[in-house]
Amino acid sequence: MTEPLSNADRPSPVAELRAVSRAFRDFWGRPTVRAVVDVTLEIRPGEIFGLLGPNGSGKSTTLKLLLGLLRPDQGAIRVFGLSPTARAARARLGYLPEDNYVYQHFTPEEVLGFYGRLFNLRSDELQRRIGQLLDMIGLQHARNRTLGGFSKGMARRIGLAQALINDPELVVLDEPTSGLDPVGCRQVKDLIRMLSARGKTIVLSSHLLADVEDVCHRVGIMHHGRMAVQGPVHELLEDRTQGRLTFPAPDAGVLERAAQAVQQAVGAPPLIDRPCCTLEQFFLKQLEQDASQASAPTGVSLATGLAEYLQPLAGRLEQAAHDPDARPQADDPKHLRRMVDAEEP
Amino acid sequence: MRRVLALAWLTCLGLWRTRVIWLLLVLLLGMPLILAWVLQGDGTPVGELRLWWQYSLGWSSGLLSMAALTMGAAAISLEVADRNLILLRIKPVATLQVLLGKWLGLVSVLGCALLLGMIFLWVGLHYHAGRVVGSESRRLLQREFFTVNHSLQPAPLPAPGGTPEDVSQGVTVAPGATGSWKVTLPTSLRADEPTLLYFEFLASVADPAAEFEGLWLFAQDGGREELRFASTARSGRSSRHELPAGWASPGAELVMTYQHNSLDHGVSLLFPRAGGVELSVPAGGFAGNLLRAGVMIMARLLFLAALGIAAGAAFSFPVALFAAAAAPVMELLNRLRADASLWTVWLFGDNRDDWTARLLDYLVMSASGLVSLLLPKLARFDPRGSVTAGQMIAWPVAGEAVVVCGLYAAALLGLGAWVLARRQLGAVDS
Repeated sequence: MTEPLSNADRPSPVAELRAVSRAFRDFWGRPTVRAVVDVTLEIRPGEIFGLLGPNGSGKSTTLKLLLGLLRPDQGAIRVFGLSPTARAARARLGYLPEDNYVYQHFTPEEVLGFYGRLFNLRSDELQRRIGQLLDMIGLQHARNRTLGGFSKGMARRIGLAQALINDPELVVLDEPTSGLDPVGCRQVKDLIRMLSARGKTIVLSSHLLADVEDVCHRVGIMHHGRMAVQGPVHELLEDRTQGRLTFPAPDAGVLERAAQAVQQAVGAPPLIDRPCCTLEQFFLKQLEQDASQASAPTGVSLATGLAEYLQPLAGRLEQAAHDPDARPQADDPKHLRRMVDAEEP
Repeated sequence: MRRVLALAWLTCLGLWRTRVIWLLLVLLLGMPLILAWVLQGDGTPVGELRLWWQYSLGWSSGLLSMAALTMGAAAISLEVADRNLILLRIKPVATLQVLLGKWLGLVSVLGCALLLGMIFLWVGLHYHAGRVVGSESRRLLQREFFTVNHSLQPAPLPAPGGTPEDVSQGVTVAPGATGSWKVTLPTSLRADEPTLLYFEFLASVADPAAEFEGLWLFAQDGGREELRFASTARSGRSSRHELPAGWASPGAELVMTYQHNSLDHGVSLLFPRAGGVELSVPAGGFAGNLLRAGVMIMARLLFLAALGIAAGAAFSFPVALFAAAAAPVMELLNRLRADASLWTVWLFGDNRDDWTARLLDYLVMSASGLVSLLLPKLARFDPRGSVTAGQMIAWPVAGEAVVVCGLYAAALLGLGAWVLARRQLGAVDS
């Protein structure tokens, strides 16, 4: 792993795996599971790449190989053109592990402060970032509670905050929405999109297909340790053998005439149905309708937007221009509605 | 350094939050109270105080040593088991920094506990001493407990016309003849307290109760005689004489001569080189000695904490604890290596030609040599015996303990970091 693997004609990939294999062995060194088999993968700057696959397909192992937590049996791995174990590479990384590895006896402020000091952040800068991150993940009110009393979703948010404390260029998220409620899932997905919009590169693994489809530019599907297929989401999902017309609430006569016209044009009767919203959209809509009965938050009051330090200067100016005084609150259903609407085509 | 301090701070805070420190302090401070209530001395105030002090100091030192091993073993192995170390691994922090931070945090906590324990024992000691009644008891307490003695082994002098080889095994004194020793008194000698002379000789007589009469002569700086006294002693028995306070000057060169006056027995006396003649010179106060003892205990804790951490870097918690605890036990057993031949005699009888006996001898001695090489001689740095017996612990010895234990600790942390860096933590949950 001494020669750079990148092709000089393209922008250097942020991370790449070349023909990587990894087996787990028993005490005597005999291979028991071939977790990753001949996987080649390239993560490009600014993209959101999703690793999909059923349980045990090798997603987490692939991410751990990418992070240098495991060594490959074969193949080569580079992150920012360096070995994944190089400290220079790790200084530019953020990682949210699959499980919540948190120090139970510490408060969010202490944990984030600790991780921040590992990046040699100045005290004033660190305090600023901790405040912004706690605002961003909606745990500002719980900053002095110990993590041992947190729910799984709250601990997940702390995991996300620690992954971002160093303003990383590459963020690796292993099952980022695991344990989160629908609101939390949506907000994490929004956060991923916002990070990507600010030029961060994101790799995430999930077995929740809707999550990946929602946010990823490209996906790779793993099965039995192999990369079965990879490519841009729209290219993979597009069915070129069919087309769809969608128009507002027609009466029965209009729909029938349209169907006849389509049948004449293509020679086969079309399938007629009514579009449904997703369950997630429906859930968030219900929250909006119940907004008048909202009470003080007990768990998460997830806020919005990206922590200021994660934004480039232009982004900060833009935000200041549109929302100079107050950042909308996470549990404000109107804000949630705006986020959903912005996502809908 | 900031990363190391961050890790040390996290370790300290973690021990505080998990109430480990509370438990440690309760045990550390509670047991001397219980011991004061439970222990029965030999009836004398000095004996009672010495017994309490010996057990309390032993308890404090032993408890902190066990805590160093246990908390050291837990510091890394439980972080691996809880997978917190995975997150640390992907931060830009070297494995050695992680171990160093953990070690620093741990020894800081142990150091504070040791300091608190020492202060507590010191207060308890003076409380006990304050309850002693009677001027003689108080004088004895002051002389035998609160005065620290420097133990001196005078060098034997060959007889006129003799060679140093003549006294290589000790000094032989024929009936009517004399034997001499020379010693330089320490500059820290306290003139306000008496000096103790201990001597022991061997004589080939059939009656073990036979008594030998002699005369001790003391001269300092140029041969001016300053002190003489008669003595009656038996072969193989240690004899003790108290020499008056203020008789010798600090830093003076002292020549001691024994004149053998028991002509009727007709046998020579052999004063062995080791333990034949010994001077116990009052050389310091109790507080200074206790401070040096504390430094030595702390040096041991530096090593034991590093041992636990290094074991935790390689193994899971129970295995790490066992491995870490096994090392001091091996060191303890290793002190018995001189008795290795006795084991084989016990196993194989007197048949020393048996090849299995020779093989076992060889294996035991090889293992013993290896242990000597790998582990510091912790017994040498155990101050409990000295501080209880009122023996002076010199600063060079305390300094040597810090240097040796510190070097071993550094080596162990380096080894632990090397092992941990090669462990694939991502495979822990696979």
